[in-house]
Amino acid sequence: MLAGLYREGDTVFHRLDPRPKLAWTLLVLAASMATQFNGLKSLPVFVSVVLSLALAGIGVKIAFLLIFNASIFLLVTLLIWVGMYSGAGVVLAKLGWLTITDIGLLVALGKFFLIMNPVIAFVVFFASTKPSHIIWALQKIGVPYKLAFSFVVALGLLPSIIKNAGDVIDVQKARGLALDRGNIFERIKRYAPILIPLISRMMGDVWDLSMVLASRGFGYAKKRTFVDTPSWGKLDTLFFFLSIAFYGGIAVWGLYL
Amino acid sequence: MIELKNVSFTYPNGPRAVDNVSLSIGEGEFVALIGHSGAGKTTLAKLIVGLLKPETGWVKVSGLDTKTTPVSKIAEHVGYVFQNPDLMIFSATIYDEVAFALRNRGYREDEVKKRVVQALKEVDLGHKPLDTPPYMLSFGEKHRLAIASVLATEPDLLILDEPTTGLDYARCLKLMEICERLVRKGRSVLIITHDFGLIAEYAGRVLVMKKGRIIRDGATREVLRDVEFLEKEGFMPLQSTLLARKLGLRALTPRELASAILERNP
Amino acid sequence: MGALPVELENVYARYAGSEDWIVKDVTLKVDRGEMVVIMGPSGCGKSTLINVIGGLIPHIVAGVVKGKVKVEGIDVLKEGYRAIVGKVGIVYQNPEIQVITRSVFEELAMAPENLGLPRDEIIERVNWALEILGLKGYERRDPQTLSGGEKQLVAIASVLTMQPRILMLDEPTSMLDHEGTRMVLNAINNLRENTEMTVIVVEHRVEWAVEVADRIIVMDQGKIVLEGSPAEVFSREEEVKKFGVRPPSVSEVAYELRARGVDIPVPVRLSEAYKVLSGVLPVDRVEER
Repeated sequence: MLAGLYREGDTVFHRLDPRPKLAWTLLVLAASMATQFNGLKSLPVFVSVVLSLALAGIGVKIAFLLIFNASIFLLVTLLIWVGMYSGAGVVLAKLGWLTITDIGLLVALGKFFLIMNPVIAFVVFFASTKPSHIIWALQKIGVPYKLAFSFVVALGLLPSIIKNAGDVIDVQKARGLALDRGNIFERIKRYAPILIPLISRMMGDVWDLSMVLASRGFGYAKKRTFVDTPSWGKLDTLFFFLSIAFYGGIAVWGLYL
Repeated sequence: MIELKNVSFTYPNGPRAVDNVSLSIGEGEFVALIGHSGAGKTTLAKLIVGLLKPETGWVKVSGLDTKTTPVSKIAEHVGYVFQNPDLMIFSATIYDEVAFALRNRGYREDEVKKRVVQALKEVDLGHKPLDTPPYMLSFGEKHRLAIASVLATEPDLLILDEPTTGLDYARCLKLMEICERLVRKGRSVLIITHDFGLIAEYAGRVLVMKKGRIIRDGATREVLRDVEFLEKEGFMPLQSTLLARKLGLRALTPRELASAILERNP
Repeated sequence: MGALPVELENVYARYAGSEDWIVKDVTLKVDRGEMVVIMGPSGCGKSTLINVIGGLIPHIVAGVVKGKVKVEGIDVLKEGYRAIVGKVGIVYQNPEIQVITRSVFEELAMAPENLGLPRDEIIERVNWALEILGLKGYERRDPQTLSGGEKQLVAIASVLTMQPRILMLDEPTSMLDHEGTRMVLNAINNLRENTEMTVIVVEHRVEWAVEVADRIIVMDQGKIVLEGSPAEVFSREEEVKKFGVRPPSVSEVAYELRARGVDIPVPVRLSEAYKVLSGVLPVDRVEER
């Protein structure tokens, strides 16, 4: 799904070298971890990733969709962490059994951002980086080519698996399979007619794919040529150091101040 | 038996896949549905089976409105064989595989057995022990097993969605013979295929789809002999038809052409 | 005199895990620039034979191969798959599996990149392949958005960039509609006219096969059971029917007439059929189109 996530475009993020972009996603992760106990401090990180989403041309629509889908998650996190920290800090409000304190609220927000920020950052990374550039970058940072390639191709197979699952479900339904009957164990059993053909299809696809790759000399040369390679430019350097300064600063703020 | 009235369907974020289609298929009809990829053939088939619900209009299968009837109920009347039929196989034995749809309908086990044995015989798998695991079968046998599992339910309408992909000629002919037997029993067959040779030989009626619409609906000989129409729409007419035209004769299949030649020149 | 592109002698092959030989005692020589079409029922060993010639069995896929397999003069069984990489290009039937990347250019560049060729040469080859298959202008397109026929053209182009001496296609049109089929078959015709490539195709579209094939091979149960020019093969009506090969429909007309006592030669192509049959029919009844 992630490699299938790539969208052709000509935005700042598309033009960036994958390496500083990868560094950026990792920095987002680090900064979010460092500020996980204080949502106020990780708020700037959140704002930065949402901004990046827009800058990468993925569309504010998807950003809202992501955030909307996360809102249930937000609510659950809030309840759990607010509940856990109800004994600490200044009491802001009491809702029945739930005591909301300022610290509880900040921790809950921090935990929420800890998950959301890196997810959005990875979405930005995969949506704005060509799969072939991901392979190239992984290889540059020392991942063996075959492994890097397999990783990206495996991700790319996901959409086809989802499509196949839809087909198999349709066919078994047409044979009278009803998935919505019976208790939970019966329901799980009802998935066998879907999972078994799906797995056999996947194995078939992987077999076919490996034949296709073999016939294209996959893994033949010790040093593979990359025709279309990203190049590290001034913009990349700027982005790289700005990211380090910004997220590094926030991390330090989160950990020590 | 099958009736569609002003049926339209659009996939989310997609173009209109089926556009205002009205159609009826009666008992004992052998209908071929042709059209290029993306013309909406499979979508139409799924609408008939009830896997998709029409956005506008209605689909009735043996009097049941697909919008208000669960798919499992529609499945008692329509059998759907998918492009790669062997991909529906999941059971541990060929018996269980064929019995699956029957058990879903709640038949008693003695009835199930009777039908399974009959269906396996129908597709020339009658000689196999009933506990043969499907993975022991060859590709062609698996294909026939999948067809048997749909035949066993004795559907009023059998839909075959490009069943000949990966099948060799001899097996295609076998499959067509099975369909023909169904039709003779008063059941109907709707086959989606690109194989004009088979259509000319077996189907009585041809539907042509283009961009979600049915642009032609007529007798096979009338549609497939319309070389201008076929070529305009990007299809490849049968060579026997082309040859007949060149010779100034009217014929569709090789057999017809041979007869026409002999008629002219006894 | 260079080596023959393909030289098989008493070849047996099976995959690991299968007990029976899938290819049995196949002896086959293919000449430079020849076009061979292989036909036969599913499971007859056609695809396995392609994979043996391509060196995939036993080197990439576990299996056993016996006999002599020489491709471009190289003993594939002895010297291994690496010795013939790039000399043979194989195109498979499923277009969906054969487009891997997100741009046509990348897709075409992939094989020569894997071979580690210099950058400039890869670009040159990609342009050549685009040109010869009429895919100019597709470079930046996302292959996932193309039609089945276009995807299959991209798949062919993607092995052409290795500049193979032998191109093998395993049922390249079986999953395509009429438009896609026409596209792919025209592309193969085009390659035959403009290159010296030796082409081996497993294909059921017999009416195309008889137009372009130098030789037709019919396989059944792992063996080559019929072999010859299209005219030779389809004049043997009984064997053609016995092995379940679909004859060209114009040959079928002749079979029908012969069965009814009209003694005529069996044509395989439309133009021949017209000549043969207009001889049977009184001349004034035949209308030129």
